[in-house]
Formats: sequence, structure tokens, C-alpha cells
Amino acid sequence: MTEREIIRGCLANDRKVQKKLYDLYSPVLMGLCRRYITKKEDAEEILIESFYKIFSNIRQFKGKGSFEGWMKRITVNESLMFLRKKYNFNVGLESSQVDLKTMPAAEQRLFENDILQLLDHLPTGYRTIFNLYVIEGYTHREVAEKLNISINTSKSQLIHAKRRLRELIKKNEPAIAC
Amino acid sequence: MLNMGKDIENIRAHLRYYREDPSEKSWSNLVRRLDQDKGKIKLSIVIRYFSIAASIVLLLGLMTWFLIYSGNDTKSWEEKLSIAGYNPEFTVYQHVPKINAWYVLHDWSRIYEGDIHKHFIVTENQSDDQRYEYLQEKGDSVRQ
Repeated sequence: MTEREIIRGCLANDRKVQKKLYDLYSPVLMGLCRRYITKKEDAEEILIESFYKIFSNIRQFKGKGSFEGWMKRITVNESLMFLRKKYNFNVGLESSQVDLKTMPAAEQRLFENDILQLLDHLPTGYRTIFNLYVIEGYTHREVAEKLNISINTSKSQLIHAKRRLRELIKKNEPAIAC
Repeated sequence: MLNMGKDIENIRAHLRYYREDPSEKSWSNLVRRLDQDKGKIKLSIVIRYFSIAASIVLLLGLMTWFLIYSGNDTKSWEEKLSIAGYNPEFTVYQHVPKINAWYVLHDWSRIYEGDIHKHFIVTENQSDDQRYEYLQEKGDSVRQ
């Protein structure tokens, strides 16, 4: 089934096609949610809300860009909305004492999970900006607009996030062999 | 700003393609959410049709009421005047001849419209010649 056929099926509210789309992209979008949201249950809730928005607004996808990119944007926005409700991004730099003893001594096959856990140890503001800038590829201006913070706050929080991550990696060198 | 080091680049490369399977119940939760919405849409369509039907019925009722009562005007002009509180401004344009006749009947010759109407009522059923003679008797001022 091609992407176009899937979109057409979703436009017709065909539940089987919707399931097909869900099966194809739910691991990708769930992975994306988990990068932003630490708790798995919350991430899953956001995934459901994102798919609900994807299905109900699929008419708005004009086929100009990538369909996956469009779905990812919806999911990122949903994750940010969730975080905005829970946290205030205007608080500036966050401080958190990371308990490194809780870090798992994982094997190489668990590498991605380890990194994710490493990211989970970052304060929410650092993690969100790191995700948006480094992984999603947004500019500082876009990050600032999305989080309703200044560009300088976005830049400084990214520097702190990177510094914190380096520290965590250094202290967990045997577990996370990059 | 710090340069993106090897470690950060590695993290980026790995997390960009990070995947995780959601739990099995998440699809059923999503379906429930979608079905709930479908129910809401159906209900809103029903409400919309009902409101359209109610508006049509109301409109037809108003039209019927208007047709029944507007053509069946049984009240006398005296009654209407009393409803209007004897306000000549309200009724004068509809009932000028009747009001004038009333004025003449009660000899209220200079209340509002003046003598000309009184004289007009008096000469209403007369020929032009008779009316002219009558008006000449009353003087030129009456003709203005």
C-alpha cells in the first residue's frame, strides 16, 4: 500500500487503513514522544492525541512536504503543549542534581535506551530545547517561538544541556560507549 | 556557544531514529476516541436538522397567524382610536376621512385638520358646482 493510498483511505475514515498507518508510524512517533516526555504513560497519551489530530486533520495535508514530517510536527506540538501545561519554560535555567547511581549499566544493544535515559536525567527545559534544536533541527528563533522564550534563553539552555550531557556521558563511559 | 562535539553528534544520530512500540491497548484507546468523536458529529447533525425543522415550523406558524389576523380586521375605527389613545398623529393618515367625520359629528371643527376637512366632509357627496358654491359662501380662506 503506497503512502497516497493510505492518505486516501484515512480521508475516507477507513478504519483498516487508519490501523495500517498507526502500525507503520506509531513506533516512530512514540519514540519522538518519549524523547520529550519521561513518563511512558504520558507519552502514550500524547501519541493517541497526536494520531487523533492526524486523522481528523488529514485534509489539511496538501502533499507538499513529507507526510512523516507533517505527522512529526503534530506530535512535537502535542508534546510541547503537554509540557507547557506542566512546566513553565520562562523559569530560566533549571538545576537538578542527577543521581548517577540510578543510571543503568547497559549493554551495547540497549544503547539507544541508555541515551534516552541519559536525556531523561536532564531537566525538562534543557531536554526540550536539546530535542528541538539538536534532534529536530529547529533554529533558535523557532525554538524561542515554540516555547515562548527569548532566543538567548534558548541558546543558553542548550549550552547547559550539552554540558550536562557531556558530564553524564563521562561519568557513564563504560555503559555508554559512543 | 559550544561546538557540537562527538558525543552530542552521537546522541543526535541515535535518538533521531529512536523507536518504541506503544502498548497494545493504545490502538483501542485511539479507536474509542475516534468513535466518540463520530458520535458527537452525528449528534450535532441531528441537532442541526432539528433546529432547521423547528425554524421552518415557526416561520409557517407566523405566516399563518399573519394571514388569518391581518385580513380580518373587525374593529371599528372608534375602537382603534381608543386603542391609539386618541392620538391623531398615529391614526390620522389611515383614518383621515373617518376622523374628519367624527370631528364634524361632534363639532370639533378646529382640533387638528382645521375647517377645510369639515367642509370637505360636508361637501363630500356634492357635485363640483355645489361644492364651489358652498366654499364661496364660506369665504376664500377655506379654499387654501
